[in-house]
Amino acid sequence: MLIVLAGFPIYWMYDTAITPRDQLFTGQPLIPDVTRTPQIFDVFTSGVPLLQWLANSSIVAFCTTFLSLLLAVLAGYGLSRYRFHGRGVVGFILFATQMLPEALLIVPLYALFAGLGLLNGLVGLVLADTAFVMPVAVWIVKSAMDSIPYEIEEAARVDGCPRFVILLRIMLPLSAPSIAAAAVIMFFDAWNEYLFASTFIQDRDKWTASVGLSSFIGEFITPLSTVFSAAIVFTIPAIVFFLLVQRHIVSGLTAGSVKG
Amino acid sequence: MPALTFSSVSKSFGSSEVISDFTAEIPDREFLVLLGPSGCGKSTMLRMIAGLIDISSGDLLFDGRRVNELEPRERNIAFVFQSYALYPHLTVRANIAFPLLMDRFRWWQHIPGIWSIERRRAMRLPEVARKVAEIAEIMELTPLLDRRPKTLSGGQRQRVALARALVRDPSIYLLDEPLSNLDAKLRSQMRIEISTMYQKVGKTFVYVTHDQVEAMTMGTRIVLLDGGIIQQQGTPTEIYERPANAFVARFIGSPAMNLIPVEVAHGGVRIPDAGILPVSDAPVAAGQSVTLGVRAEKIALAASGETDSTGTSRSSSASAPRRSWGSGSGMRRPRRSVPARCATSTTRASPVRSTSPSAIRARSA
Repeated sequence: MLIVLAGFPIYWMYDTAITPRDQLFTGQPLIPDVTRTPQIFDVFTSGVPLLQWLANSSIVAFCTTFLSLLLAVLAGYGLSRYRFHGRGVVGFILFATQMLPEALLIVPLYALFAGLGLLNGLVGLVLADTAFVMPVAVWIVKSAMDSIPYEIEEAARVDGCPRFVILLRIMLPLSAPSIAAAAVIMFFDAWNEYLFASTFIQDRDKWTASVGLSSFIGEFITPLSTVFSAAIVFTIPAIVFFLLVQRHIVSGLTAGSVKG
Repeated sequence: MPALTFSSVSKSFGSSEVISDFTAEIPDREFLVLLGPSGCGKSTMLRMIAGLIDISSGDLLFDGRRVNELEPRERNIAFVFQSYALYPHLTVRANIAFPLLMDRFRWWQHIPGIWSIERRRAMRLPEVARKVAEIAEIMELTPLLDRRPKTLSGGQRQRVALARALVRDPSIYLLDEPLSNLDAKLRSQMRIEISTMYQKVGKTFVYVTHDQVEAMTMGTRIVLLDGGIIQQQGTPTEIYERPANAFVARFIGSPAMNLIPVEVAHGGVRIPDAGILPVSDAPVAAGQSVTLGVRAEKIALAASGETDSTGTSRSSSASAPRRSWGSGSGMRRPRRSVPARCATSTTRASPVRSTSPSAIRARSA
């Protein structure tokens, strides 16, 4: 049932993309006509800078993923291994940021970015996205590192491993599956992000794909086939990223280190 | 190869004191066993020696040099963990070589990418390769060198952990219950291997265990801990034959020492319902209640009527209220003081003889 619910939009997207416009509102057959292909190439030739938008989205998504993972690994390690005053408070605040809806943050962020001159640029968007998704990554990384036995780190210290090398060469490889999972979440969040992108970016050629996609929806006319064809193009990079990362999402990497 | 000196070492976690006032002097090349029940602070003690946790107060000295603030690697120690703590993402070869690679670590190897190149280069160095091969040979790990820890059995992992500890030629070996995860057969085999290794390398060993068999068979010196306090330290024989207090008497030996409440009488101790067991030279005034301790194997059956036992008194340690008696050789005493399970196999009339000196000990209650 859940699979049907999750899969239906994909089916709908594909089905709409391949159906000629004049047939769209006349009631379609349930089984898509697979002899027709999505009008993907029409999208590229239709005059919109779709490639540019996809590139923008990629830049934003990759930078957000990289930045939030970088911060999350350091923060997660600190929260997991160091005992300091206010550790609980930091953890709580990270969670608390997730309680606020994006729409609530957008006004103060807009004012802040206006002051800093970060509006209408990808840098500002990356920062906003990172701030919004990073806490989730911190928690994922922290719990992954919590599950790594203390003794492995102690063994490394006895072997003469500096702290930073422990993090880099021991903790990081051992929490790689969780970091990969976090990367997927970060990437998809940033890739799909719409509200920040549509508010902060004004120039058409700086739009991300999600904003660009929605721009097809005109006041009087919405070229549904084109929109959904573009949507298919829009999903492809995300899928590619997932496929690249998912082979790292394997469990049981710590198996064999301690008592078995 | 340092001697270890503990001077009033204490450790607290928050308000709870885990180790209090640990004072001991361990000569060079001893096989020291830290023995005690679970949660007595022995692993904490070992981690303090290693420098993995801070010492709250007191001093720890290696050969007279204070090491409280030194990092683990600056103490030149090897640590074998109870849970092995192998690096699961590295092969056996890389696991064993890891301490050697760390010896060669320079700051610029922090830069991502450089480390991988450096590691490959260092692994190929003849010196590193030779050491790894040597130690693998000793530990019989040569065929397993390219496997990862998860494909190994418990005993093999234990040997990898030992090999990793041995490869750097440290001056002190610290072992934290290294055999507790192994089955009985492998355990006795590894016990022999560790003892052989100790004989061979001639370094100071500190071995933590709750298993008194390991302690008695491997250690040259035992420190018995309970509740973070040293109960007794000495050689295995001393601890077995002259326990300093009732806890030690009960903890060491299987079956545990029989402890019988008695009252000091003139010329001996009065055992309830059994008459007087003669002990000469009683250091405690008559009429006081004390505890009599006797090892089961020191009790023997004797012909009826042989009850003229003699005993000599012995004071165990400096502290005043601690008193104990050792019995004289050929000592006899009435049968009613035998442990219950022995008593059922004898008749009421036949007395029991204690066969060796210092078999019977009493302590102020």
